Amino acid sequence: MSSNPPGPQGPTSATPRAGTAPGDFDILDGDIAAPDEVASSKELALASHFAGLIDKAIAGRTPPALASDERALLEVATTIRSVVGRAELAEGRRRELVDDAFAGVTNLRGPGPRAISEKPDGARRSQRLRARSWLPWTLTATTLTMAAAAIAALWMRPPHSVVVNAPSQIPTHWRSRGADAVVGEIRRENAARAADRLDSIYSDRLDGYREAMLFRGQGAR
Amino acid sequence: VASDTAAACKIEDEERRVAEAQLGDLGALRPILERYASPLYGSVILPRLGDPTSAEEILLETLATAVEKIGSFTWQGKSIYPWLRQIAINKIFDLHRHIKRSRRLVEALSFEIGDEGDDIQAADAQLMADQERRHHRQRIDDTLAEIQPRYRAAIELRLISELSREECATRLQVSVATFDVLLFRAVRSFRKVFGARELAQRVRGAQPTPAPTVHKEQ
Repeated sequence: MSSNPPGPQGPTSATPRAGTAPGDFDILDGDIAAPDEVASSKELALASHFAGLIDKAIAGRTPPALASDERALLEVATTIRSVVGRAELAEGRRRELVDDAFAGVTNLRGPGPRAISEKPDGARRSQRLRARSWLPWTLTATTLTMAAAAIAALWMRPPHSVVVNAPSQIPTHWRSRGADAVVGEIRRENAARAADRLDSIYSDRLDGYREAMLFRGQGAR
Repeated sequence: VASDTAAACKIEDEERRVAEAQLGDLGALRPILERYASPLYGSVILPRLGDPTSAEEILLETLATAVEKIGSFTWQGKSIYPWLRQIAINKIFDLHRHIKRSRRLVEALSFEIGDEGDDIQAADAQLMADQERRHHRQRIDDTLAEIQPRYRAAIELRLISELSREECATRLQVSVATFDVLLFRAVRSFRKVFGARELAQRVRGAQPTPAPTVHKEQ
């Protein structure tokens, strides 16, 4: 066993499990190196962080938010400590919890002739704990009510009034229209002159387009 | 003989207090709950959860349920402790089922329920809690015996003896950073070996039946 701090050049001793990104250290299911094997920089950092968590757990200050892998490992340590009697409930805390238990039930039943004396702090904490279980239902009910109200409002509102420009306000030569007026009657002898007719139609349409685009706002010609 | 007499007095006191509570004086339960809160927390709840915050919440819910449902409790000449313990275990089981966590150690401990309690219900509650703790301890010791001696030493020094990291490092003649790595690997190794042992026991059928044996509190 080396007494030197593990260096960053050591092998990574844990293999990633499914769902773990390549190169990540799999705390729970990865391989575990032998005691005298040099640690990688990643393992060294994880070990140092875990040591800090153990310090906090022993001091009774387990952090509320932890990565799930870290929490699982810390629970192992806490379980070992509790089984050997190292994680007892402090007497003050025990009294608080008993008070809370009574306060919660007393609040549910309401004051009666033989009710237990209420502890305001404990009652509040107990109410908070009990309210926690109702919170998701309350949120769900509120969300559903708001959604229903929104749907009802959409359903019952007056229909949109779409403003359409009156056709009479647009000059006829700006509008889509038949080409009969431009082409006129096609006589048999002119039947083959379709290109001329197309030129006439195109010219007419281009004329209206130019006026609409270049002289807009200056009135019709 | 003296301890038997003391236990009998405790049982008589419990019976009287339970009867008073069932008549409406819930405050009569307070000394009983204060007496059993610690063994419930330390021997029943925390070893099965591994998380002090969750354990306190389960303990609170257990005590509240006991106060709330004391009217449905039937005195059978035994301590009320097994009833409280069963309430706690049901709540732990509900929590595990709700979270669906895949943590072998706590799952394994949480599955170990009910059955062994039937044989010792007549005994004093403290004896029952001690017996349960010894049972857990035996499983922990068996697992420790299977892991690397250096890992075992790291766990014993830091988690069981609760020596400081510096003291542990000195005793193992390594630097603090190396000790941190040792402990990290030791806990991971413990978890792995414990999980494998529990799995093997279940395959052999030596493990008490898990979920179906749970009976809801009255």
